[in-house]
Amino acid sequence: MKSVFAFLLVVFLAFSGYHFTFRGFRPRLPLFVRQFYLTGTEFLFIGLLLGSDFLNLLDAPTRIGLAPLQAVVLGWIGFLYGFQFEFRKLRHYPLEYAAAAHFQGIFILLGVLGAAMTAMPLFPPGYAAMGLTLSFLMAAAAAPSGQTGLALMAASMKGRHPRRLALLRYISSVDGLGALAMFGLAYVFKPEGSTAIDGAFQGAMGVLGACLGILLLFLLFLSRRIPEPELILVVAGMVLLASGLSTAAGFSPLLANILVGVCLVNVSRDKERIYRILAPVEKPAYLLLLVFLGAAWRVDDPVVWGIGILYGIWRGIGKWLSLLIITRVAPGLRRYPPHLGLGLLGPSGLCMAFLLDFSKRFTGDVAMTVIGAILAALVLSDGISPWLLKMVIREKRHEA
Amino acid sequence: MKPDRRRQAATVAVHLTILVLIGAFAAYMRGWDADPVHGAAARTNFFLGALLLGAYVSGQLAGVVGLPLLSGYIIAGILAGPHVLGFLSPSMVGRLRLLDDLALSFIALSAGAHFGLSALAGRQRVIIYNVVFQVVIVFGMVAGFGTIFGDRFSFTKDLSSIQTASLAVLLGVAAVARSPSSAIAIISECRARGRFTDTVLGVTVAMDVLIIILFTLAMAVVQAVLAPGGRMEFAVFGALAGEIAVSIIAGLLSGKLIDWYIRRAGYDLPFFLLFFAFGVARASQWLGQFTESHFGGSLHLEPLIICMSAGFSVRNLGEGGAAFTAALDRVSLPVFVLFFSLAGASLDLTALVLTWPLALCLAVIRAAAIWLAAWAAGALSGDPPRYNQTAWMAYLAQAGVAIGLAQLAMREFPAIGTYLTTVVLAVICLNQIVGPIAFKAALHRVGEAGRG
Repeated sequence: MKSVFAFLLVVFLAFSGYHFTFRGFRPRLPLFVRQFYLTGTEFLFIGLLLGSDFLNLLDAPTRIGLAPLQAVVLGWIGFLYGFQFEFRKLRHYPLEYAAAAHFQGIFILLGVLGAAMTAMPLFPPGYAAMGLTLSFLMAAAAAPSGQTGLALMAASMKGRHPRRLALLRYISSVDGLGALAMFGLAYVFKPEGSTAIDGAFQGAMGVLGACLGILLLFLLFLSRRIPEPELILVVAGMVLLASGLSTAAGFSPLLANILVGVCLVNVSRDKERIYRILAPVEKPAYLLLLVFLGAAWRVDDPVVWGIGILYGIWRGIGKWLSLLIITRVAPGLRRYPPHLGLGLLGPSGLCMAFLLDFSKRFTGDVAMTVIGAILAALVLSDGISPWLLKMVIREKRHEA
Repeated sequence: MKPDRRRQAATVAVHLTILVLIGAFAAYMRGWDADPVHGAAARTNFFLGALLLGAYVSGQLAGVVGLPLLSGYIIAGILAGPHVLGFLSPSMVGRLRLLDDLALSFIALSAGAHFGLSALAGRQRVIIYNVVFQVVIVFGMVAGFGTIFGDRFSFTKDLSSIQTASLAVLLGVAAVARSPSSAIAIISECRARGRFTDTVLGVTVAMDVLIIILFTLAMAVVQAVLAPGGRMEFAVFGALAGEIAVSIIAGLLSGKLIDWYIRRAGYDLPFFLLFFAFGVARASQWLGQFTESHFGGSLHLEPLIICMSAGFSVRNLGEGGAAFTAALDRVSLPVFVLFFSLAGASLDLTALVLTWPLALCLAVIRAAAIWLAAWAAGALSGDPPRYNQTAWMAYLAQAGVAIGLAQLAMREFPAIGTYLTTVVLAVICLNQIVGPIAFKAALHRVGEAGRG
């Protein structure tokens, strides 16, 4: 009964919260409060309130009871995320934008991965045993940048510095690609299995085979034009099936659905219709994800905050340094200010999805501590990112 | 080969390929050695998705050969279920049946929304005749058959004559039960509209309310007969009347709430309705448990009556009827597919194998009784002969309500309960397969299919 009550409550919170947050409610608030509010970060705290440390409504057994819902939420978000990668549209941007985005992404991924792998042996044995997997997660969660702050800033700057904002928005829309690959490695190099390349290769092949099967199934369904109610059924059924199958294959439901989404958006003629079905549930699903993540968040452990602050600073340095280098080296980007990277500190929804997904697969104490630390870092980044972004945007520099 | 035939053949080939692929995935999942905690979530999601998609495709294939889509969903459930291919274990079916609460309440909302006052104007007489005749004749013939011939069947030969008569009374009541969900699904699928359709819907919904009263009455009678020194507890009828009245009032008020939501906000209405349906089902259950544990007596509100009244209220007493029915239509397909495929997976084929001679006799007697009752009601009301000869085909389908009642009786009367449940399950197996096919054929025969 508790699971059912919790289910009803979180679904109600997600949908009503979505309407308060993203639709009818438009209060005049300071920028940082608006960013906090519009990124849905308050739902992390609602989840925390509902979790074991406070109201105990979403305790561990209840969360396990709601695990199917969490997997579907991840699958839905993943599928929708994949749908944003239509290669035809991504090619519209200048080459230097792509260079900046990918350089920034790779620089952070390698920087955080290296630091995490170096630091892990310094921690107790539990951390070392999961060292590689946790390092992949930390690197993957560090790279993507949030878009909400940029969108808010674009609206409040009323057309000033459009190129600077366009570059930042482009970077934030594609810097998740490398992170996805890194996150996938966390599943392929499982801590309990072999870390040898052949084990990883077998795992990757299994996952690829399952994804291809799911994609083939989807394409067969879409081989004829079907009416909307049937398309709703097919999309919902496929997300459920893909989430279940990928979890069974020891893989991430998020990544499996992203892969299927990316393939489908680039080959299906029904992509617009499918997108119209997926999109209305995107934000409620994201808020649900934050509630579940908040409920599992450990905030009473000083280690969480210690690692979190170090991780947040390292991530910030990585973002800043990567764009400093590329804007000084690449001729087409020299007109941009050197501290541009500080405008990319806002956390992306993709990072949150990584964390929830990881917490479903790797449930030990060590994993939950690291997830809590990353979450703490992302929340702190969310708090300071509006000021840094404003500073970057207002920096005087001629970009014409 | 003509282009249409070629296209149809290609579609069938695609559908068969999909089924093979889903079957291959399901075989992999069945053999998967899962960890007990996270494996359960993965299995639930996978099999839910596979059932949804597999049943949908089976429905399309059934449509190609002229059967109702609903039959395809049920057959897919039977095939995937524990008795045939075994992709769904009994425990998995049990877990997924939690969704029945949601689906049944949602279908009840839909049934209420189909119940237009203007459409029913002038049909009251035939509906009342049908209800009265079907209760009297169907109950009388099935209970009579059970009482007279019950001891001739190997399955029930060990029962005493009193027990056989009690079993027959309960079987008679179970035979009166209908399947509003099947009726709504077939009407939606056939886009049927007209006097015949309105009458069938009116009778089916009325019977759904009436069956609860009849069953309570039968339970009281059987209690008095079977218990040593037993007597009728008349207070139970007062409580039942109160519960039905409160359920109807709660439904009408909920309908007002839905209408208010549609007028004031209206966002994500399909999700709101799904949420409402599930909420009503679980809240009714919780209220029963709460009043039982805190006040010593259970206030059992009927979620189906609440939802039907709510649907009726929005459609007939509010302003948001059009948006309401559009939202219901938008998500009704997944709900129907899931509900009927799960119903198929839960059909107890073992019970059918054990009791098929008795079940077959009861199903035939029931069909004959329904034919007689529907014909007499139509003839007395002056309906066209075409309607009267066809009407019986619309009332054959049976589903969850009868199973629920039989299970309740099993708890109350363990001596005959197992027999009752087994026979009822077997009869439902037959009626749930034949009923939708017959109803679809009836709608085509009276020319009301495709007019909605």
